[in-house]
Amino acid sequence: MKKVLKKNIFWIAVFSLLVIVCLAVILLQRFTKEKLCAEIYSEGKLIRTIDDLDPGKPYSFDVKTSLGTNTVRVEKGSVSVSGSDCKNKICVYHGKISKAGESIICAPHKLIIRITGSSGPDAVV
Amino acid sequence: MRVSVKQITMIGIFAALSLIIFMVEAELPVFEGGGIKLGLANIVTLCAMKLLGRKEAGAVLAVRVLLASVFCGSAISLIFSASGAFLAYTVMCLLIGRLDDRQLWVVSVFGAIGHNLGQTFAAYFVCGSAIAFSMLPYLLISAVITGALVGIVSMKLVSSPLRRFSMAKK
Repeated sequence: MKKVLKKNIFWIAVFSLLVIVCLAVILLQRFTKEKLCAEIYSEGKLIRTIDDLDPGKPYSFDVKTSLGTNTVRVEKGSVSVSGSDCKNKICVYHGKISKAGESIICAPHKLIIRITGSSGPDAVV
Repeated sequence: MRVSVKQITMIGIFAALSLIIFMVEAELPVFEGGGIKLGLANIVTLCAMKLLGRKEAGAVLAVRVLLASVFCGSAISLIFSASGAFLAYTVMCLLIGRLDDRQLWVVSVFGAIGHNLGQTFAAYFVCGSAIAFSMLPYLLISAVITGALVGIVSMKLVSSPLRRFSMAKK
């Protein structure tokens, strides 16, 4: 009986160690989380990048191209198009994007805003 | 190898039990983050291993995995559950003879870890991205917890009156 108890304690220790290691890995992952960036493409060419999607103060700027003007807003880790002089306004209605791989497309202005960075799973199966 | 009628019957009963538990569990809402399951069906596999023997437990597991993907899965989910089940079965087969009855929960935990590792590798090959491995720490923690719970339940069951159905050669 005593031997059984000893063995159980041994295995409990082994598994607790495993759990602690896993927790440490998870915490490390959290802290070294990559900053998200955004790229703005016009007619397939990169015209501007946003390095920090979480600035202290929200701000917006205009992207002027030969096809028209879009107002891009950056706040709290998200990007959105707050105004546009295109005809369908789909980019404005798209709302905010905040995850890597998401994009807002303004077809009339041939403009793409895409978030880059590798955090977050691609898909949950 | 000769298979007796009793063996076939027992494998059938255990496989049916395991399939029902698996399907009921599949209907339960999954935990946040998805992909974490209790693995209750492993109780049946463990009991089969103790009460019937390793080969019979393998048969129970194979029947359950195949039928589960027929009833409530797809080809992709078959890849996942087959790879997980295969690795779990291998690990448990290797360990069950080496650890005594009171360490069945350890076997169960290693089985759960094997299952999750198998699924992670399957995810790696299916999705082809290293992102599958970023889930690994979460999966290992859940494997330890759910594996221990499943193992304790199995231990109780194996030492319950159910053991009179035992066919394992001692």
